[in-house]
Amino acid sequence: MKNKKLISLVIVSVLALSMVLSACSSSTKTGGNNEPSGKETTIRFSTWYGPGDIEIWKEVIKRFEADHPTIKVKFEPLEWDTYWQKIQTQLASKAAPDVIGMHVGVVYGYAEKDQLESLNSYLETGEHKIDELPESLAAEGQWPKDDPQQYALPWHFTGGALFVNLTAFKEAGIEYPEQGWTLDEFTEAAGKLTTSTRFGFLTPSFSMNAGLMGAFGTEPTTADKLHSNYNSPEVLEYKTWLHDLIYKYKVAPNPKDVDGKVDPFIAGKVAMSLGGAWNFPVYRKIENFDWDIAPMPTRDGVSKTYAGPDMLSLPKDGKNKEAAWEFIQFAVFDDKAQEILRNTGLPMLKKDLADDTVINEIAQQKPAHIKLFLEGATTDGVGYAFTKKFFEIAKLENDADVKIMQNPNPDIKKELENLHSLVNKEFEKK
Amino acid sequence: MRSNRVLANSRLNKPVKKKWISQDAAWAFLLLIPLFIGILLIYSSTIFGFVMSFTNWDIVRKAEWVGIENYRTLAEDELVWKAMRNTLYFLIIAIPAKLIIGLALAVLLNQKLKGVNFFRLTYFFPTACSVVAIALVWGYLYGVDGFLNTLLQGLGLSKVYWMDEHNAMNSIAIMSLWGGVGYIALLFLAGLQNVPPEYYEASRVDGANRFQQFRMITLPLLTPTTFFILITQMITVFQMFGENYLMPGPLNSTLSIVQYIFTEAFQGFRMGYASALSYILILIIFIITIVQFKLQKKWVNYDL
Repeated sequence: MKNKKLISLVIVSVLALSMVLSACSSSTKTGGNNEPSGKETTIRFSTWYGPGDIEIWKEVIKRFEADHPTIKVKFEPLEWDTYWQKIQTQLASKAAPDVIGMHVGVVYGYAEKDQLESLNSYLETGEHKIDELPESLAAEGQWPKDDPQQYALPWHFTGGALFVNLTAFKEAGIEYPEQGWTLDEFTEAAGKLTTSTRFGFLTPSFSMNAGLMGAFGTEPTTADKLHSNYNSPEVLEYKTWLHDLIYKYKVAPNPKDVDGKVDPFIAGKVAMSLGGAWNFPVYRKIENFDWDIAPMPTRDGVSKTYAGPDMLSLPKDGKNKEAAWEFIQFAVFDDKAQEILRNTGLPMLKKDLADDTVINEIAQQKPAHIKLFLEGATTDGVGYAFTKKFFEIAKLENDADVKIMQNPNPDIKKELENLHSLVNKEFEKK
Repeated sequence: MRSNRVLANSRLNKPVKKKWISQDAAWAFLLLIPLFIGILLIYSSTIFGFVMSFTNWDIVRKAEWVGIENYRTLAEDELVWKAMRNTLYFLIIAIPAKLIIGLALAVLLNQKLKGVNFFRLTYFFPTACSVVAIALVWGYLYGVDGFLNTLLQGLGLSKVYWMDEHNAMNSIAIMSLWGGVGYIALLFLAGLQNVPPEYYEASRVDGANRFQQFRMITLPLLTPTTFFILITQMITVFQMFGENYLMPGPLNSTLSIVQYIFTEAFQGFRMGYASALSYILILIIFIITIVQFKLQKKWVNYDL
């Protein structure tokens, strides 16, 4: 009798365990309804987050749910590294959230694996059109480049600005630079700004090279974003110029001497630096000196500004695509979302960019010349290695820069040829 | 009376129904189920990993059988060799340093001094710290303008690029030594306290000095502990990941084998290739462990 009880207990335990295990499996039924109308639908939204992003998204979700009472949003924010590991396995197991954050550098890889839904049909029938966004920003969510489909839409954009220490400019007797100032004028200014305790400029790393490299008329990858361009004469000329700033003109520090733990611009160790627009909230707290952003230097009349949006996508195997699209549409195009979302980035809708009230509101908080930057980013905006191998190229270029910029006498051509070959090998990898 | 006897006899002759499983055994099986499931998961994933190493699985697309292609590729992969060299270099510098310093600390901590427990706790404390916290603190210490360089420059010495491609591995070894030597000292301390005091008394009677006692009694009787530390530390070094991942040196100067496996598997999503690398790592650890077990017969003493 006792044995029977025990055996029953074993069976019940095994059944309970299998129920627990099945509960852990990839069941993704959240709302169950594919249409947003009528019955309540719950969608899942996951993205990585930076400082302030979680609070901002929570407020956007609150406003969206108030406008769309039949759709609930379950927010699943993750740290950067965790997000990219988790999203890949979720997509593979068809258990991805209904709306996912997408980085401009990797969207093409996901599109190529057929894991993202094309947004073209949604945009054709939706209440908002793609031309409400600047072409350069919209294009970053399109793949392939020769027959583009829209796979991601930006929710805000960031970029690389030339930050300048105005106090140092004043002390060195340099005027705030005019739009169109040349690389020679830039180098001369960097020289005047260099003192025994400060360098005029800090040479950029990876994507922050975009603007200056663009002025040299080149990019790290070819137009189809599928091959390396590092062995082009223009890249060689650009990297040689950067090297000269360190060792010939002595207006920039050897990157080896820059402590990665402290922002050298904030510490007053460099007077000009190329940094992300996401630095604005941090730089607004600087009290030791006055700062602003300046126009990007030009070469032969060419000027470029690094611009890269953070985006949203629909997974191909999403369960509630219509409701998910409603949420994306709200985040990208609705004023109620955009007025919050641009706080951690920059305004991106054409109507906002043309609205002086919006721009002046940012300018009052600093940087004062934000309009100049926005114009540069939207009219002469350029990405940097925004291809399916973004992260891999970043690592390879940073390694090449160590060999070039930390060495007084490098064979720059050889290092770039080597980088070119490694990047192409990476592209060939499946 | 007779009928009672007959009844009793009939009961005795009735074949007793055997229980197919005893109550104790049933309980044992019940309690072993979770463990069994765990072991099943481990071994099934180990087998799955081995099969995967012959495919090009990338999580998303259907896996294709590629035979020994992954193994052939890794033989020609410069980063595999770089990671291997880095790991061996770390093994060569970190393990002897940990052994020597750990033993010296254990000898000091074995003294009957006032407040010795405080020192024991102090030296063991870093072992209880998270590798993330340790890497964060040492990252600041190793900064170009960090504490160590400020100290060196204050002493009139030139600064050291602790995390450049030439020094990064040594710097990680120092950090690992700081974080792990307390545990080694603890093991040696336990070994020291197990040495029978009679040996020391007898040797003293024979006129042996402290150094001779250490060389002829302490060291030989610590060889089982040393052997244990060697085996476990060697496996730990081959599985090294956290420190290198959190404090990467430039130009792959601190790339370890497990770090490379992680990069291939969870950043490049080349699961087949990462599995092949894992199996090579298992093979290396297996061979070195076997060699160590064979050699231990020549130098490990369990008694004098």
